[in-house]
Amino acid sequence: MSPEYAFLTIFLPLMASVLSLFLPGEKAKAWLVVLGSLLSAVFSVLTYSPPVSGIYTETYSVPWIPQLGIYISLHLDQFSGVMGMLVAWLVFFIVLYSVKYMEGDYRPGWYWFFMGFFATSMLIITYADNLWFLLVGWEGVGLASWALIGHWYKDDEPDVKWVGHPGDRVALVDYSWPPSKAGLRAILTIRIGDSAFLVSLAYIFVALGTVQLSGLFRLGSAASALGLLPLFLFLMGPLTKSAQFPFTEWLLTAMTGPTSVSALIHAATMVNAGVYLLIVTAPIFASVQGAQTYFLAVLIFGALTAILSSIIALTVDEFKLVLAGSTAANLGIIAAATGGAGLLGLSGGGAALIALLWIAFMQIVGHAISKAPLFMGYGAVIHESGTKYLGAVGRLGRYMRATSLALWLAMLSLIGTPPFAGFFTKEMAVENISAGFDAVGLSGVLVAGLIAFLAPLYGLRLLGLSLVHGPEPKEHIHEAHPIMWVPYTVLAFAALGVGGYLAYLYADELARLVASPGFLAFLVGFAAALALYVLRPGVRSRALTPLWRIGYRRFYLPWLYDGVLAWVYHNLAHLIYWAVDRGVIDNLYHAALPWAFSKISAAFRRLQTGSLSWYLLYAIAGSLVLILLVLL
Amino acid sequence: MTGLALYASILLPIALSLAAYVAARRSTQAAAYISAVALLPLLAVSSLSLFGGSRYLGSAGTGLWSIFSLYLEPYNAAYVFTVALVGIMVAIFSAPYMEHRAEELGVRNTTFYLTYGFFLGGLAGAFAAQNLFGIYIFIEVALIASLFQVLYYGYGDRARIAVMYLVWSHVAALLMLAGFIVLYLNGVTTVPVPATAAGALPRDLLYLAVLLVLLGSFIKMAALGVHMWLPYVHAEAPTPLSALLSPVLVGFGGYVISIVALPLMPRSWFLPLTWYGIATAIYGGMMAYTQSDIKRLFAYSTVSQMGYMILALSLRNVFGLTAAALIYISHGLGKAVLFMTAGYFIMHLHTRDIDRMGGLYGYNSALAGAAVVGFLNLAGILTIGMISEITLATALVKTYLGMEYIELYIAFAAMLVVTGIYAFATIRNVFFGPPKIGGAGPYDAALVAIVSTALLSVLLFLPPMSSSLWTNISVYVQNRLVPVGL
Amino acid sequence: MIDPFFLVVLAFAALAPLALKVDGRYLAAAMGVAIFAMAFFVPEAAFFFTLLGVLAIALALDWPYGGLGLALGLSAASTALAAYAYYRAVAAPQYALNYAFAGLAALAVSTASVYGLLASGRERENLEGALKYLIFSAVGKTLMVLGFAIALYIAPTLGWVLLAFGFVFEMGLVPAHLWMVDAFALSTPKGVAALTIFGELTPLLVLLTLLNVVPMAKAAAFALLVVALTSMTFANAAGLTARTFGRILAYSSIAHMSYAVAAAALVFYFGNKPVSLPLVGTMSAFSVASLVIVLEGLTSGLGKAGIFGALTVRHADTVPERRVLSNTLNVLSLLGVPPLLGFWPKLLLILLSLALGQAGVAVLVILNSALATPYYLRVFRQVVEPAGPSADNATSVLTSTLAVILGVAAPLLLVALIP
Repeated sequence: MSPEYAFLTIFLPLMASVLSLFLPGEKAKAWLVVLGSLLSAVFSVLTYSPPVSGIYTETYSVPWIPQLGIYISLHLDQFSGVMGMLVAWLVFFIVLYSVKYMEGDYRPGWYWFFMGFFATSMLIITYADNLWFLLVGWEGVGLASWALIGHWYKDDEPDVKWVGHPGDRVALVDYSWPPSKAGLRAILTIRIGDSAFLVSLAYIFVALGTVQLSGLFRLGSAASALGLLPLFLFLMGPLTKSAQFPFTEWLLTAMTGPTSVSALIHAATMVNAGVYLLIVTAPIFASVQGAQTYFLAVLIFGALTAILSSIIALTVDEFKLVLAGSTAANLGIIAAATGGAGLLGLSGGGAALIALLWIAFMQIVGHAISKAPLFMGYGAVIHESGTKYLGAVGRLGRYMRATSLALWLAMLSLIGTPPFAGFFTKEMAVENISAGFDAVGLSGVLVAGLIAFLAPLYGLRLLGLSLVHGPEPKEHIHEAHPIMWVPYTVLAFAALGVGGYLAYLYADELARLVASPGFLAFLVGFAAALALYVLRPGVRSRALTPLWRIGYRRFYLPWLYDGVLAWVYHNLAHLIYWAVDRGVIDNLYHAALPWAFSKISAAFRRLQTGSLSWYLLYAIAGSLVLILLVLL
Repeated sequence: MTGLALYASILLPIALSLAAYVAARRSTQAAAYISAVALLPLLAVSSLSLFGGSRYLGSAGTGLWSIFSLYLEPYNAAYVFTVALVGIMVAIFSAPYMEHRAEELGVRNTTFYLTYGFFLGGLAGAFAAQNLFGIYIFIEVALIASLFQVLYYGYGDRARIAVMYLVWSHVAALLMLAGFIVLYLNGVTTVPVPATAAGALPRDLLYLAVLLVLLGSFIKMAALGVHMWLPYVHAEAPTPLSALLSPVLVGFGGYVISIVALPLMPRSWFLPLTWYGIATAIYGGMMAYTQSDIKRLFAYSTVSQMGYMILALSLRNVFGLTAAALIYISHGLGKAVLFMTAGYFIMHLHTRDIDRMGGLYGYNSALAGAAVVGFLNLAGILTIGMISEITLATALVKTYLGMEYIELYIAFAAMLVVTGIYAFATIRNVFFGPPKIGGAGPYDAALVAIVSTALLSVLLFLPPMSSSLWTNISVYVQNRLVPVGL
Repeated sequence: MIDPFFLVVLAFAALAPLALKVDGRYLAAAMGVAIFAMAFFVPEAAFFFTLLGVLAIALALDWPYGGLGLALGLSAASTALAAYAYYRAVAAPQYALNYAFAGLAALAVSTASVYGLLASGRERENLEGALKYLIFSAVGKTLMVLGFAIALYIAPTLGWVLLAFGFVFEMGLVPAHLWMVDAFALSTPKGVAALTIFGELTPLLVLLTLLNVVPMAKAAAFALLVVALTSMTFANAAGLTARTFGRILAYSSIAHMSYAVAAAALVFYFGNKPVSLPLVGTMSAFSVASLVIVLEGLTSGLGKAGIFGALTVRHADTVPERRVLSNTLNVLSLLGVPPLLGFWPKLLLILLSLALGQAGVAVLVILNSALATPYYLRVFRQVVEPAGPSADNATSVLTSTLAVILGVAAPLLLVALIP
């Protein structure tokens, strides 16, 4: 590989965004960052040509703080190469889209800086071979996501820019999230994971003497002494970053950010950083003593997330929230697929493991290219219709033809309809999952089937109720600006194209995939969804209402986090402050002691009567006492 | 010759403070810039040592004069560098601030600029002094100088706060002095205390000395239990002084522990010290979260950061001591930015009450950006703070490796989370949310100082700056401090 | 053999009639010059002669003393004489006895003249304060002379106990301290200035002289130690809530006197042995104690002389109405902030007590100096906060300068002071 290209790929966006800080005018900033990301995208292709296979195939590194194991080092292989191109190009398309989407926004400097900053951080994660260096990008994406979730810092326009219905409360806890609050939730959740992640990196460095991924990989069985503790501390990072249960909440409220941000950061790239890291570290951790437990945990967390988030996506009533739910679900699928791959790969050799991991990785690609256009498309919808609520506006298919076409294509790909990209990636990932469960003696078919069954339900529900049915829009709605619709239409067709390429690639497996239980479950779900949401909408069932409410309230996790946990921390802190800090310590030092001294002092000075005879008396009495003392 | 340079650079601020005093009668600007320029040589010398690894040794003579002998090695250069850098920035910041404060009080700010140089000169001297008594003398000079500033330009009940400050710091200094004297009578005269000293001293006497020094340092650092004076003093001090007290003066305690107490401490004390550090950090962080007066909030966050420093020191390995120095730098820059930001609000918005702030990003975006960077320094994200956090974590695991220390890891993680909570909650309460105050903040010298300090804290994070300073510090620590009794 | 210098002091006293013709301040100034001039003829005590001469001149410049200028000059001269006696007694032990008596004589002279100065305001309060001083120091001197004689010729122990009480009365230590507060608070500031520098330095020097003639008995040393420790704690505690210059500084000088006495008592109770101190090297504990005593006396004297010398009120039981910036340094020196003069005696005292293995005493001293900080800060504010224009005068400026110079040059000073 040529490190120059890689470094250009990584740092061009940052340079552009730093420069953009000093440019006057929104347009200038925007186009500068677009240019930067375009170049970076081009260089990402050059970096990966010619393609290389395997893992940690080529590495390059320069020292930063060698004594601490910090090197600026990159690795190029089939994972980082493809991931790099994916990220760079998505960044380019979405940045281009947001030139129009963010037009006239009140905080352009902030937005454009953090977009470029994010791209660079994400690319660092993609290519980094050194875990400390990766941590730099890791913190970077976390920061960028915080900054952009809270981009609309004024917390204005609740109906467009918030998540949830303003004023909605559940048992005294607000169920609506302004951008600033959503940002806080995001960064704090991620801090929890990162602090454990940091410790585990330190642990790995101290125990094994290096944090170079390639170096650790080469250690092979020498790494087995590491033990499970650092692995699970490590896992905390990806779990929070990729919004796995029980840390899904921040991703859902992250939808307060501009839709371009949701598309880029909270669908296509940043949230994938976690699962990507799980994938690329799996070959290393596979050789650690007791890795089975680790991979099983990943598998279970993933599957759990996939199912529960699908249910959330099925029940919530905001465009972006549905998409966010499905993002979480797909991240769950990827994680679970990785766990499954790990479990299966442990028995088979390294090559088999990498092949299985590649399947999990492909789902990242499949999901990214189908989710990004969905977000951008619904961004356009919100932009035009001025509402974010599912069911508030409908029948958009008539008014926004290009958009709805793109949305259909992308959604079909997302839920895994052949011959779209999503079909192949998802089906194979689901196979990983079920095989993984089977490997530990659990019934994988059920889980896999459930996952595959739910996807088309929430997918078609969203499209059906917004594009096909639903209330007539009040004012006239027209198609989005080309700078907006071109990028996502292109991406949507890309999903189709990639699907074709994969069909050609996996031609021999096609039959097996179609026959797989996962696909059958998908068909059932698809049929049901078609019936319920597209052909004959409006079917309601009283019996399901309580269940629906649980999903709609997102399993009451917000109530736990914003309510109970926040309340406990807040009041505990204040209790300690008033009881201990002010009550005991402060009073002791600044009230009790001075009081005692002033009393003593006053008592001493009371001797100062002014009468000479008393003075002499005191003197003589004192002298006598003293003499007694001497004599004794 | 190099020794001469060292003396010159430390005495220059003191000497020029008289010039600043005279200048302050005519214009605050002139006085401020004189005070800033006076620190440039110090910055140069310390940078040479910190980034270039050069060493300075200065002696004023033998006998009593040996009190005033100075040394500068990358380790204490890290401290001196921070003192000089923050000193310069705060001097620039003080130009508009003190003008505002002086007319608010209806006094002249001559005294401020007279004592400013003494404060920084004394502080730098205390870090550079090689003789135990020298350390004490220099720190007292700094203490008294800062006392005047609290007394004349402070807020609230100045007199009471000044007494509080004087008594607490004096007690701390005297306890240190007592410890020093005990060591001195047993032939330990210079810092860093040599390895042989621990063996040479009688046990009980040794522990007495170490205890006294530790206690004094804890009071100076405002560690948990003896931290109570700090929120008052740092909140009521004139803000430029707070921006110096909080980051640079308080950390002095940590420096003293690292060069005097650590070499002599028995092994069994280290684990309790580790827990004490973590407890201080978490406690300070939680208390910071409860504050609505922004300066008190920052004061408590200083308590928390000093907890980090104690933790770093308690790990008795090369990473730990390096982390201590790095934390001093990162906290120094970050907290300086934050206090100067608070000063900017006091100047232009006339409030310290967070409840009255909100949505201030719109008031001045450059300021908001700088403040965010300041908080990132404390939270250890993508600034020099991140390097110190990584070093600290490594040090922790290096000393306590294995499943049996899991509770330590959890506590450490909790510590980082608590810091994150108050940092980002404060950013939200101050800069985000519906704007409560209209208008736009002016672009003045204060803002320049704030933004450039923030930028520097990012620059120091990047290679080659971070590489060279980390290497130089750690090499010195490895060769001179770690072998000592550890 | 009679020393020429005694004649000089007698001559000064004999100048009394002149006071009726010439304004006293010129007289005092002239005597100051004379004392200064004599520094060249008595190398041992040159330091003190210079210091006292200059001080006398400074005080004389600041005030119209009327006839009492003579008293001022005399008190300066007598202190000089005491210093001279001390150094001669060390230099020529064979004549030590004469010098001891000379010291006592000097003490008498200084008491008389300081009394005059204290009372000079001609107000009821002034007179009352002065009277208390007179009575107590009279008792003190009686005990001293008596004790000294007994210690010499009959029973050292009994004699020294009496001497000890004599000094307790003379220097206003607990329990005989109460006069001091009134004397400070009620008398004229210029009188108090003279009292603090001349009236307190003299007994200290005399104490040193006597110690060189007859070593202190253990019992007396014990008594003095107890007294010293009690009264330093007492004074600092009492000072906390005192409000006016006069009273605060009275307590402060009780404290200073007790630091000084404590040093001597320590040495003679725990036995005089060579101690190796950091910075100063190895020397006998007694000479360290002598250093502490002299430096403490100077600190207290110079600092307070400066502060009171600048007071423009009729008696010191009020807060001043003019700002005196140079006095800030004097206050800090009294507080014992390094590197000012006041820091060194405290440091030496702590070193001494630790060297003698008395960590307890050292800790007590440290606690005391911490305890004292609040009221010194109060004095500080009273000095600075009144409205300008600042009323610095010769005395305050001179003493503050001395506090800095002597403090920074302490290394040299130690050599100059150790006889």
